[in-house]
Parts: sequence; structure tokens; C-alpha cells
Amino acid sequence: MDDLEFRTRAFSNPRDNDPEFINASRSSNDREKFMEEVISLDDSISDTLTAVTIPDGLSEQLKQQAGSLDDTVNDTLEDSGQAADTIKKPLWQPRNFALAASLIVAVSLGLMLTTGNELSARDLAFHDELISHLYSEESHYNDSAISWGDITQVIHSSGGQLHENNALQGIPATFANNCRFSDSSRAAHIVLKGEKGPVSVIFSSNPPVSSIIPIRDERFEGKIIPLENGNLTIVGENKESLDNYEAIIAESVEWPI
Amino acid sequence: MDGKSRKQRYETLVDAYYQDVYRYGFWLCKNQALAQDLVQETFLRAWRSLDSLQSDKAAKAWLFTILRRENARLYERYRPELVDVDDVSIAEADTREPEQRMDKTLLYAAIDKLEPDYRDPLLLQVIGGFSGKEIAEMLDLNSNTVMTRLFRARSKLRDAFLPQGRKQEQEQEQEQEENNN
Repeated sequence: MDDLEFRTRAFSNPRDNDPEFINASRSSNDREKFMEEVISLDDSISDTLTAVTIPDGLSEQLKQQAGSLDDTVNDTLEDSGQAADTIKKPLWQPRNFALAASLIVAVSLGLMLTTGNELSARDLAFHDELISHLYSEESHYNDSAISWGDITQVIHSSGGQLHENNALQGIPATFANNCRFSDSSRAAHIVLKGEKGPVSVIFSSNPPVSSIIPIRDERFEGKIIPLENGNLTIVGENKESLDNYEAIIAESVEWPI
Repeated sequence: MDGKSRKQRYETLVDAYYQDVYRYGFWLCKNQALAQDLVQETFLRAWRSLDSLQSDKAAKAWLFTILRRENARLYERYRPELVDVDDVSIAEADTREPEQRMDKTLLYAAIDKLEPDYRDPLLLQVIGGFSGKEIAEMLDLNSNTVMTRLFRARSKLRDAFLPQGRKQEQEQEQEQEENNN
């Protein structure tokens, strides 16, 4: 093995156990000295990369979040008597709403219907970021309805709460995820099936926008509504009738952020 | 697989890999809160898709890949301000000499400055313990490219990390070798 190959392999993988490489590394004093330096550097790299403090209780938190989904599934399974691996959970079951309502009750949603304020640069930046977010997320939407457990988990982990509402029972949801915007604010993104296409409902914990902002985009229409401590965005394809969704969401969701 | 076995399998995965997955997440986004979110989202997705994991031997690469995708999906476009090197969450129980701690800080800064193309394979190799072939599959690159990037990553770190005196000494040695040739 010539020096060039030897040095390349040493830097690529100093822990290479290939006998040919090991023999090459012992073939001269210079190479042995070189390997000592490379291994020493690699030890320092390894020490630095692994010296990250792991948050206390992370392991338990990870187990609990799966457990909370599991409990929701099991409740439904008990009712139906079906096996866990085969059931597809229907959406918006009354029992699930009761379960959800029994969880945290927080400050109720209060829409601040302030209008007429001048929009700030931050408002406009958030508007643009939302639009980008909608385009980037749409490839992740499902074709079929997702489970109630997913939606509950997303709303719950973002600090919100859904109440029982018959009007919601007939609207399938195809996506639910926790997102984060550039100011590190948390958000819950739920996608419902609208008449013209997906309707996104996004609760975000960023500072409330100055007033209701209409979504301006070639494809989407909707609005960003300031809440007491965050924003509610409802947006769908052009010509989607969104007033109904707004009313249902306002009645159904508690959002303490 | 019944619900109990499924949960047991998930918890085994958490216990085995959550620390490395968190470390990898931290180095991708360099923010503790974001890293924690990434890890939570990663394991949540893992839980939902657990039945698709054929072999537990592939679990670590699977988790790292989920986290990598989540990071790309959530944070790469909207990266918040990076933390300052002084604020970095390096374990506090570092009882080494001040000079060695300084080395660590310098090395942290050097790793931080590596281009992602070079840093990513290094993180996967050192934190994840993956082979060149595994890294190639995870990053959708060929093995030679991965090895070249690993070579360059370490070369750059050596150049940044070596004490100035040693660097000059090394340059002199190289010059000497060239003159001899």
C-alpha cells in the first residue's frame, strides 16, 4: 500500500480493521507515528461529538408519548373487540371526543377580531413563511383519513385541546403534524378534506399578527387570525368555502399557548 | 405482534438508541430544544411505523434516517440563529485541564464550521458507528464519495485543530520531504 492510499484510508477511517491496512500502519516508524496522531485526533473528535448533554427524562418522555397513543388505540379496541394490528380507527368517534374533553381544560379560544391595524414586516414574513410551509408540506398529506390518535397527539403535544363537536364528526382529516416556524414557535398543523382540496388548520404559538391577514397566493386563500397568544390560520384552495371551518374550529378547540 | 410486545420492542429501541439519536439531532440543528423536538418526532414516527421495521439490526440506521429527514423537513429551510460556541451544551462534568477544555472548544468550533457535505458522514461514522457502505446508503451516495468526504473532514479538522507550532513544524517537514525528493 503506497503512502497516498495509506494516508487516505487513515483519515477516512482510522479504526479500519482490514488486515491489509493494519499491516501497512505497522510497516514503518513514520506510519506508526502518523497513526498515533490520527487516532489521537479521532479520539478528540469522538469526545467532542458525544459530549452533548442528554436532557433529563428524555427516555421516559419518549416512552410516554408512545404510551399515550397506545392508550387511545386500546380504548377504541375495547369498544370494538377488534385486534390491535388489524383495526383502522374511524375518525371523530364520540367516545374519542369524550376522552379528549377529559384531558386538560385550558384557556378557551378567543378570537381577537381586530381589524384595520397596519401589518408589520413580521406579519408579512409570517404570511410568506406559512405559504412556503403549505407548499412544502403537501407532499406529506395522506390520501385516506388518518386516525384520531394522530390528531389528538398533535393537538395535545402542541398544548391545545379539542372539544366534542358533532359538526367535526363528518370531516375527515388527512394530515396532522407538529411543525415549527423560523422563530422557533410551535405549531399544530391539521389538514381536513375540503370540497376543493385540502384545508389546512394551523395553530401557532408565535406572537399574534397585528390584525386578520388574508392569505394572498395564486393557489391558496384563507386567513391568519390573531389569538390571545398565537395565531390560527385556516387556508384552502381557491374558492373553498372556509367560513364554516372557522366556526367549527372556534367552537371546538382550546388553545392555551 | 400484540400491543404489549410492540410496546416492549419500542421501549427497547428507545433505551438502546435515544442518546445517540439525540446527539445526532443536536449536531444537525445545534439547538437543544429543536434537537429534543426532532428526537420526539423521530420516535413518534418510529412507533407508528414499527411494524415496517423488519430487523432490529437495522433499527439504528432507520432511526437516524428518520431524524435526518425530519430535520430536513422541519428545520433546514427555517434555521433559527445558531447557538454560540460558548453556549453549547457540552457535558458539564468535564474535569479535564483547562488547556484540554480549550482544545475541545476549538474542535467544536472547527466541526461546526465544516460544510454539511463533510460533517454529515463524519457524524454518522463517529456518533452512529456506521460503516462507509451504510453511510453511503443513508446519504444516497456511493462509497468512494463517502470515504473521500470523511478524508476531507478529518483533514480539515486536523488543520484547524493542530496547534500553530505543530502546524508549522509539519509544514517544514513536508517542505523538507519535497526538497529531498
